[in-house]
Amino acid sequence: MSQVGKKVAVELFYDVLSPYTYICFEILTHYNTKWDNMDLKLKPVSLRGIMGLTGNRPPGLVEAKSKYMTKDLIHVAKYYGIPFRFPMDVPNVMFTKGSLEAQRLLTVVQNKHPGHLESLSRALFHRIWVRDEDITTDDSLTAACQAVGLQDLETKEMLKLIKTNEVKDELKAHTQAACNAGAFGAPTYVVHLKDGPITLFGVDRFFLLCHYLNQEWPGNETVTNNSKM
Amino acid sequence: MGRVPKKVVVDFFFDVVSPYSYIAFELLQRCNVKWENMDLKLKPVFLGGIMAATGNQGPAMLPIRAQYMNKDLPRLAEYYNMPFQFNAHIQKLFFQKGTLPTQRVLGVVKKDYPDILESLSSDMFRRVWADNEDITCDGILKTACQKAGLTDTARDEVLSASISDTGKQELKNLTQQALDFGAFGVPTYVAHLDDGPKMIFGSDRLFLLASYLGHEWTATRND
Repeated sequence: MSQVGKKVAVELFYDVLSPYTYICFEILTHYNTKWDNMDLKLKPVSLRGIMGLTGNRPPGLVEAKSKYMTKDLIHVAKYYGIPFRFPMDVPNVMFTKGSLEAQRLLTVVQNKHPGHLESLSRALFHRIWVRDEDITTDDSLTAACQAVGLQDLETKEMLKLIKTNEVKDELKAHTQAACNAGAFGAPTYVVHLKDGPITLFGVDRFFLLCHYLNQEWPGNETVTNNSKM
Repeated sequence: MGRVPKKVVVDFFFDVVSPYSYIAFELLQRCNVKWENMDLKLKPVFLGGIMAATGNQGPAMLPIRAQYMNKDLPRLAEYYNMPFQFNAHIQKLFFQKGTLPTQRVLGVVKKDYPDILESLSSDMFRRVWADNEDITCDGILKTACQKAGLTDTARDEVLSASISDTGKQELKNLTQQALDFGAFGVPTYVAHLDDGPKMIFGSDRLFLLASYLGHEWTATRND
């Protein structure tokens, strides 16, 4: 039973700090252009905020789990043909530097330049999870904005905005909304079906999304989004 | 031509207390019928021992995550056409009596009666995750051993061996084996490939196992 012309909204709550979310982002944005019944809505949130609100702890804190994840991420990325490389100093990138500035910037872009949200998110994901580049300083964020075609003036204005309480509060509100939808980590995606929303956690529940959207699971078909970079 | 394809040994470490192990076990049994190059070796372990040794915590310890699992598990079971029911005695199974007696029996059966290990494991999994049984009740293990085809004598031998020091040591050894491969929970599987063992965690990584063994994984509901 296909629902021609009827799109299903899928909200992806994401933070560029999470490597599994990077893989999920690439998969969902890729199939959003291929499937005619999916309407992907990108929702930047703060992963650190979600962990704080729910009392969840990052999986990497258990040593054996962290060792496994360093291999698992490489295997999963390779399976989908997604470029992936660990930064040299993962604890520094993930736990010390974090992604608050980047997520605030994405929050502003979502409002002011929604057409650039996907490309800027990808640029920031790639800075961490492919090229081991910083995403915390104004210079780094400016470079990412430039790379996706945002004007210097627009970028300067946005960098001012991310220091305001309005934007900080907005990111907090979006993070709280993700938790209200049942999020306890990232990636979390909510499929808005006719008979109610379904919250899915983890890149590895993609096959269920396919099922709910009446799409065939594409297996290890290569995921490519480079054209939009 | 005419050469028998080399089989790949795949260890499956499990504890019947784990619902995701149940789903993985059911899926692996289906794969085992179709994949001629897989030599599946069932390895019962004690999940409590793995958690203690690695400092890991069960996902259900976090309330919001437990709420998610309450939806995720029935969804997966429905998707894969598996019988599934939450177990009303799970608190007792997790925190009081535990699955030690069951896992020890499975450990002894693995050593002494390997031919019935799969059917006994399947039966115990189903009792917990499909039939809502309290497997800590007296007599259940006895009944299950009989159902799996052990004679009365063999059954009694297995049950007394499971509470002996050697029986206990057997399960400890299997649990240690899992830890040595890097396990921090279950289900954990290890594919022994030519270029070394590959450890995989979770019922949702069978697509990787399939790719390592050269099989297509279509994630269809009857996979």
